[in-house]
Parts: sequence; structure tokens; C-alpha cells
Amino acid sequence: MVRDTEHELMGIIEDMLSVKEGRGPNGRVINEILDRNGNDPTRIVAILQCLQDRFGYLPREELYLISDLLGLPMNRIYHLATFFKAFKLTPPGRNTIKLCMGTACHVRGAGVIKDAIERYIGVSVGGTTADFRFSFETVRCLGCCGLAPVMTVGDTVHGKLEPSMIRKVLEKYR
Amino acid sequence: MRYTINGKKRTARGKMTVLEAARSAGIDIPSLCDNDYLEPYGACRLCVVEVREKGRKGWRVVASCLYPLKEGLEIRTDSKLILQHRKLLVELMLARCSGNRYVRRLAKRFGVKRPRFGGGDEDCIMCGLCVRVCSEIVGAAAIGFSSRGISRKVETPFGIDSSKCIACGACTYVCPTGAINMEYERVIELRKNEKEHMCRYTLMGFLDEAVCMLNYECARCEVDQRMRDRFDTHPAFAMHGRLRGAAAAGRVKRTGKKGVK
Ligand code: SF4
Ligand code: SF4
Ligand code: FES
Repeated sequence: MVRDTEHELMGIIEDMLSVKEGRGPNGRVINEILDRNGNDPTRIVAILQCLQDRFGYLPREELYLISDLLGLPMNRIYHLATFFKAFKLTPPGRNTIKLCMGTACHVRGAGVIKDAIERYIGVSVGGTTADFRFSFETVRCLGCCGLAPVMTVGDTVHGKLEPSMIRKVLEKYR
Repeated sequence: MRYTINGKKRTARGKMTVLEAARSAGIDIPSLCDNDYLEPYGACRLCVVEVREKGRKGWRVVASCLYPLKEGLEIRTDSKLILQHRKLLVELMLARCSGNRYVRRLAKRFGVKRPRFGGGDEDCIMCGLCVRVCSEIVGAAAIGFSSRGISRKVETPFGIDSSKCIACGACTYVCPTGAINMEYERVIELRKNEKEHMCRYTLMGFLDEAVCMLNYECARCEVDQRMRDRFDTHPAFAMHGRLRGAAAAGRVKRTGKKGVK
């Protein structure tokens, strides 16, 4: 009798574990994130932030997994994920271009730089090239107005830009 | 609870919103996104009224469908300011949905002729009725809002065909402007895709073990019409709280934790 219950219990625990871990390659990571947030659906924004920290964007499969595990319908999660500009639903490129559009850069011609970049990589602001070589975003201030117009590619700062320099600067990044 | 509405003193018992109180007093407040079966949402703002709380001096403009009635509350439902507000709101709706028949009729009722703002040709006024009925009553949670500001819209997650939708049509039924329509393919797909035959009424749990006499050719289905005749509303509303189909089984409580522990 006792044995039976024990067996049953083990069975249930195993089932739970297989649900927890066997789901997709990132099941373990997701569970870690959820545990850190107390498996609390009301902490969904924090959970999405963790997810984005880990993957650089919000991968779709993993979002569905989170939706299942938290019992929070996907339509809510999708609403939040698209509501906040900070969340990305598509993977970023290998090199992220951040062009400053703050006041100083703007005055010093960041607009034409933007056009030049768009022409070179072939996607507009907010986009990622098809080969994932570049993602392109604009930011408000990089905090080095003396270098205006300025951009960063990855962690490297490129200042005092001119449209004609763009090709040369970006060529290096693969 | 005593309160004053448009100068008349009244009493009420129990918890209710200002909108409900006004209705029980026989005062008509226009409302658009309010539905008896759904949680108040406060999207359309047409139901604005002025209130003054006990012991306070100033009047405040609030959405009556969300504002709880309080002891000693004074309410004005048709002051000049309120009428102005409503007119502006309708003007904005008309500017957004300049071609929509329902919105135009609404505009006429509120005396709005031409919106001063640019004419959009949307149909959806973002009232959220469809989203709420799908989550709260049907329990399918197939559609939701996405983005915000001018790019906000109603869609399925990722904009892809949602396997959650059971093609019940409650969203189509509840939409005031006719902005959301049922793709008939969806109904047909349900019947093709499942291992067993399914129709929306089985999925909602009206027809157990449905043996369809029409061989699941939903186009010829009469249940639709009969449901309409019988309930005089969409079956999902008629069966409010009693849906027991596949979709409702997945219903999640508002704060529910279907925990993994
Ligand atoms: S048809 Fe029913 S299940 Fe599908 S989106 Fe509309 S309300 Fe939701
Ligand atoms: S589609 Fe219709 S019901 Fe849904 S938010 Fe838009 S206007 Fe409201
Ligand atoms: S009915 Fe109150 S905001 Fe729509």
C-alpha cells in the first residue's frame, strides 16, 4: 500500500520533471528564469527582461513555453512584448549599429549619416539585415557630443562621421 | 449609500459603479466599451461624468464605467464640459474611422459633422470588447492587443494563425463597428484539422459528441440560426460562465497561478 503511493508519487514527480525540463533545448534556462521570479505571472515583465538578457531578443518558442508554464495566455504576453520598445522579437544582428540622433549629432548632420548607413546596409532604422550582419537603431544620446555625429558599432565608438566614411567604417564588420 | 446625481438625491446598496448607479436612476450615459458580462475596461471614455467626492471642493472628470460609487458622491452627467468632452471623443473616433458606418451614425448622434483632424480609414476603435470576450467568456484568449499608440491593433500573437481560436464568432458578434470578421476558412479548417470532427459548438461545449447530420458542412448549418433565435444573443453570452468546451477548459483565472512547483 505504502509502496504504491510511493510509486505513484515518484511517477508524478517524474512527469513534472519531464514537463519542466524536456521541453525544447532551453527548457532548463526558462525554468531557471521562472524560478528566479517565483513563477509569478504578475512578474511577467521582469521575466521577459531576463529572457531578453539571456538571448538578446525574445525567442518565440520560449515565449510559448513561458505562457504554458505560467498559465498566462499568449495574447497578454504578446501585448506586453510589443508594448515596450525595449523588447525585441527578432534576433539582433552580429553587429549592432547605434547612431546618435541627439541634439548635437542632429545639428551636425546625423540625418545624412543615417541615410548613408541605410544605403550601405540596405535596411532602415529598427531593422536587421537578412544575413544578420547588422542591426541598425538610433539612440538619443551617446554622451560624447564632442564627437558628433557619432555612432557605435558593437562597443566601438566612431565619431566625427561623414557620409563618405560610412562604407570604410562598416566594411570591417562581418 | 447616499449620493446625488444631477441634483437628485438617491440611495444605493452594495458595490456598484457610477454608470450602474446612473442607469438604475434612469439616467442615460452613453457607453461603448461597457458590457454587462465583461470586466469594465475604460477604453472608449464616452461614459465620462463629473464627480465631486464628499468633503472635496473641485469636480473631476472620470470614466463612470470604472468609477466606484461612494458615500456622498455628487455626480453630473450632462454638464457643458461633459458634453464637450464626449463630442471631442466622437470626433476623434470619426477622424480615425471616417468611413465606418457605425462611427458615422454615432457622430451624427453627437452632432459631429466633419472631424478637424485627418481622416483615417480604420474600422477598429480599440474598445477591446473582442479581446475581452475571447479571454473572459470564451476562454480561448486567441486575440489580443499589440504595440501601442498609433500602431496599436488587435491581432493574434505574432500575427499568425492562432490555433487557439475556436471560430466561435463571439468577437465578431460583440464588435460594435464590424471591424473584426470571421474567415470562413477557419470554420472549415477546424473540421479538417482535428483527429475527430469538431465544430465550434462542440468546442464551446454545447453539443457533446456531436453527430452532425450535415456531415460537418458548416455552411449549411442551422444550429447558428437556431441558437440566435433561442438566445437572442451570441451563444457565448447566453451561456456565460457555463461554457464547458475545450476552449473554456483552458481558461485562466485573472490572477490564477497554474503553478509549476
Ligand atoms: S472567434 Fe471566438 S475564439 Fe476566435 S478570436 Fe473570436 S472570440 Fe476568440
Ligand atoms: S475589433 Fe471591434 S470589438 Fe475589437 S477592439 Fe476593435 S472595435 Fe472593439
Ligand atoms: S463605457 Fe466607460 S470608457 Fe467605455
